[in-house]
Amino acid sequence: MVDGEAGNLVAQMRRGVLPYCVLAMLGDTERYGFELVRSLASVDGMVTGEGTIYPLLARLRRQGLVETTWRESDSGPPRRYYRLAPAGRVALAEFTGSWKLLRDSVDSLLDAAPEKGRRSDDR
Amino acid sequence: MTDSDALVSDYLRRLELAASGLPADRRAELIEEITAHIAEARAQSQASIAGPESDLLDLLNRLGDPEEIAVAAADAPVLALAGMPDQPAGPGPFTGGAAGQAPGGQAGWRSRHAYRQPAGAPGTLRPAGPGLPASARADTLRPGGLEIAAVSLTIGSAVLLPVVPFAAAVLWLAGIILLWCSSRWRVSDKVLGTVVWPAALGLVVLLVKLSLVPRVRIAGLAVGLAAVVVVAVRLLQQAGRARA
Repeated sequence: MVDGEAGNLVAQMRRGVLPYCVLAMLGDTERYGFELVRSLASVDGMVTGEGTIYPLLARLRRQGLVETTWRESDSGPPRRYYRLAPAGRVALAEFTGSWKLLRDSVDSLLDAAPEKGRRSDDR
Repeated sequence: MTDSDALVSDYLRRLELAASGLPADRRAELIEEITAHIAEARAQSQASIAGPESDLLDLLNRLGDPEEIAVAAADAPVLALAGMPDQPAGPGPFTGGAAGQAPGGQAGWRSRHAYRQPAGAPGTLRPAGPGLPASARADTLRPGGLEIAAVSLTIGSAVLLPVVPFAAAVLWLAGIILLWCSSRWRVSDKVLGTVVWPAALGLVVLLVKLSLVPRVRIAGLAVGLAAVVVVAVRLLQQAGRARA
């Protein structure tokens, strides 16, 4: 079950970083839910169901990391726009630093790994 | 279009059912967002080449299983720094492996039988889910009788005011108690429901005291009554939206 464990780990990691990815997607711009969800889902492997992003957005709002406003749209129903709150900006900056550090460290270890890394884990 | 509408309302009904364990305001918000998403996508695909029907299937597929969304709402990923205790420990259903989940999601909502799945279906919220103590949420599962009674008493009791003021006051008070007991409303709505009659009556008394021109008095009265009606409608809407 080595494969399964690795898969679970990746799933958990993805789950953990997803909120920050949402914050990063907001950056300096304001986006409405549908647009945000669609562009996040278009990034390969980030999300399985678009609908599951809305609970995440709601939670980020409850945590004060994003702010929202409803606005009329010309082409359809009113839209809820999301933008980064000051606390979200801070969280994103902190995460970005730690993430790059971790990513570089892991990369350097993985790249330096000797060939024996692939012992018998092919089924 | 009726077929499409039926598909959408079926989907939303399943979502509402699956999310019935959530606090009322969060459930209402979730359904509102998903409804808006569907409306937005349908508005944007109006001019597309493919038929609206196939667009809709694709849209609902991409949204994922309602049950999956409800589970994500029960324990959506959180930022650890906020110190919220509902960070799930195990591998959550939110990301069960991209390859494995997509086909399941399709079969789940495409099959006609899946529509009929009762509340106990596998996708329903786990009772002991992290951050969602079952006991605390039990009240959100009740039917809306409490809410209807609360609104009728709070708003309607004033009808008796000119006839039997004491009874009206008692009924109103009972309505207020029910209003605050229900979990279907936000605190702001409850405050609104509580102050609307006192405020309207206060306005009337003030207008009489000031002995203004009749026309101004009538206008003031109309404003007060309109406010009461608006609040009543709003309360019923909020409660209705949260009702399973």
